[in-house]
Amino acid sequence: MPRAEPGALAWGTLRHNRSLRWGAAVACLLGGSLLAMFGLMYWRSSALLFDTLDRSVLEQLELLGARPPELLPFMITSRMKGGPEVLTRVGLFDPARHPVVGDIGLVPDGLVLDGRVHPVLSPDLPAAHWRAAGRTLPDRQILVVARSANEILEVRQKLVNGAVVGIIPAILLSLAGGAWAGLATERRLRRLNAVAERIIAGDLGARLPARDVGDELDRLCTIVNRMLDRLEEGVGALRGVGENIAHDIRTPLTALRARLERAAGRLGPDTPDAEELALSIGNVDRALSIVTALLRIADIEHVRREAAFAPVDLAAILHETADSFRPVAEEGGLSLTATCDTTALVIGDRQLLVEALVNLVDNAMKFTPAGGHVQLRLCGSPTQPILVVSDTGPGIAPEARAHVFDRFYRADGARSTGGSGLGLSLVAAVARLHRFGVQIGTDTPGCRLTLLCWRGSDEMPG
Amino acid sequence: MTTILVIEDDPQTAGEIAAELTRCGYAVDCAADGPTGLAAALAQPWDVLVVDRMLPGLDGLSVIQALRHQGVTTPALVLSALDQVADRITGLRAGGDDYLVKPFALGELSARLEALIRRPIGVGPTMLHVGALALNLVTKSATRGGRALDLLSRECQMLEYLMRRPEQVVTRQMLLEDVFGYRFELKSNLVDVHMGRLRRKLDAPGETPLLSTVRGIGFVLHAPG
Repeated sequence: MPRAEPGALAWGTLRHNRSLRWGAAVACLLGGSLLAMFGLMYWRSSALLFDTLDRSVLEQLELLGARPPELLPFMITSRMKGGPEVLTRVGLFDPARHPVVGDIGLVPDGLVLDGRVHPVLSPDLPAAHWRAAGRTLPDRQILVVARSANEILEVRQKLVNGAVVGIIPAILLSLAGGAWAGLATERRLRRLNAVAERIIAGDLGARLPARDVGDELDRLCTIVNRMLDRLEEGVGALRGVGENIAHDIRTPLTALRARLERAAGRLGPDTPDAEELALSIGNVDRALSIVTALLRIADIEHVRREAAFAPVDLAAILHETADSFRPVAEEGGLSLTATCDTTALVIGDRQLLVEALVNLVDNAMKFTPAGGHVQLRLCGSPTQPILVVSDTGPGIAPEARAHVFDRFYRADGARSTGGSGLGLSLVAAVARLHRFGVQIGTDTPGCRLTLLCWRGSDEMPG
Repeated sequence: MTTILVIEDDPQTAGEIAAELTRCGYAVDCAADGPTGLAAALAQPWDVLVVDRMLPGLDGLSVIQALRHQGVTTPALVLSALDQVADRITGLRAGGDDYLVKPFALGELSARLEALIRRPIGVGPTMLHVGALALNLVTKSATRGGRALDLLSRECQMLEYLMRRPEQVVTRQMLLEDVFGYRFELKSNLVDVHMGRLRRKLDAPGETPLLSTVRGIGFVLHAPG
């Protein structure tokens, strides 16, 4: 799977970012509750204001309506002259709806004269919105009291403005907060991923970044780090065991081997006992070479060795190996060819790559009968080079292919012509260290081993 | 007489090494731990040191480092039960001149000690001469008594290695490590095959064989006359 460079955050990954989605959800929730709160406030406050206003309109209507009709015009005019209630207007009309007195010139259109307050839009009045109530007096005159509702409308407008100024930034802020938290988490996860990759590559000393202050992720990192501590200890102990085994086995064997060798020397060559001793020495060496190979594989697998990584010219080591082994092949009646279809510089451990290639070639030659052919080939592309070692031997049965990289596995009697059976395990260990893929297939007839020489090719389907 | 100091804590191994080297005609002394070994190495001049890597008291590499620190340049062969590449590198970096992994053939040990005592012919000259053999290091062309030898590059490298160490046993392992660069165990007759070809090219019919095989150990290039 291709990974985006750190820092280049693709929208695709953000869409699936949990924190970001949470941020958006929180922003929506916050916005919704703010809106609801505002709506309630708006509704309650305007109801209260209208209520107060309506009551004062009705009070005026009651008050004036209760006066004797003959006093009414006078009261209305005097109220108009001195009263502070400029916001309230009163009009008295005769039964034919002609104005008698007051500062309302016309009975507002559509005003039901039922003594209750109604909203009125009147072009006659200086402000557009009024609350008005009217009733027919006992002498059939019509009394109308109206009061401007503009103040309330202004208050309501201010409330709406306030809400717009307050709520929208709040929603934007919480969205931005969510996005920031999401990006921060994304970046942290990226860092964790990078460290995890290093650990997978064998750097057991790497630790996940964990802060002491600790959210859940930090606590998780701390736990993983503690786990890694234990693992590192364990591997260290194992390595120690390996070294001790090496020392404990090799030291007595050194003395034993030397003693056998000197005894053989004293007996002189070509005596039956000396041959017996030479056989024993051979057995000691064989036993030891297995221990050596196992320890070596363990070394490659468990000890960080990327420090030795440097650019390696695959074509060069291919030709060198072919030049070294061609005489051996010819001696055994085989032909050995090397072809390079591409140039390739890979980052790796040259010594180990040579060792792996030598093992592949040695293995191929071992299992190819006289008259056969062993081919080394470098193909693919400079960025994705492929090393192929193929032979014309009997090949490996499909059911056995999965096991050939197992330690000590040998396909069958025909294929076991000596050797520790660890050659291909070593190839696999070297490939794992480099994160190169190894594939085993068949050339009809024969066997074909393929090394995909680019980092990460081990994740490709075999 | 060539003197050798063996610093090795395992008494049996030390005894066998000492017996073999004595048989080869060296004067051998042994020390069983690091501090004693360091003191013995400083007490008198030796021709070569054999130092085990794991020693009680003071490990072998520290002994060598201490010696180098005091200006003692006696060549040292490090014996080790550890054979990982990194171990070898630290061993050589600490001032060891060669590195031999246990267990080893006694012939391998004496061949390597001999190589350390005699020190190969340096890299200075562009022409190497051994007896009737001549090798031009620049053009990579070799002749025997004026007769041009048609050598492949590996054969040429092997001949150069041998000509720098005339009349000296060169082991298969030394050739594998130094000519082929294979510092790992290889169950193959690789060296013998190349050596066989080189031998056939060196010795025309009727000529004195220049290359001889030392049974079970390696090869010697002779320099007659």
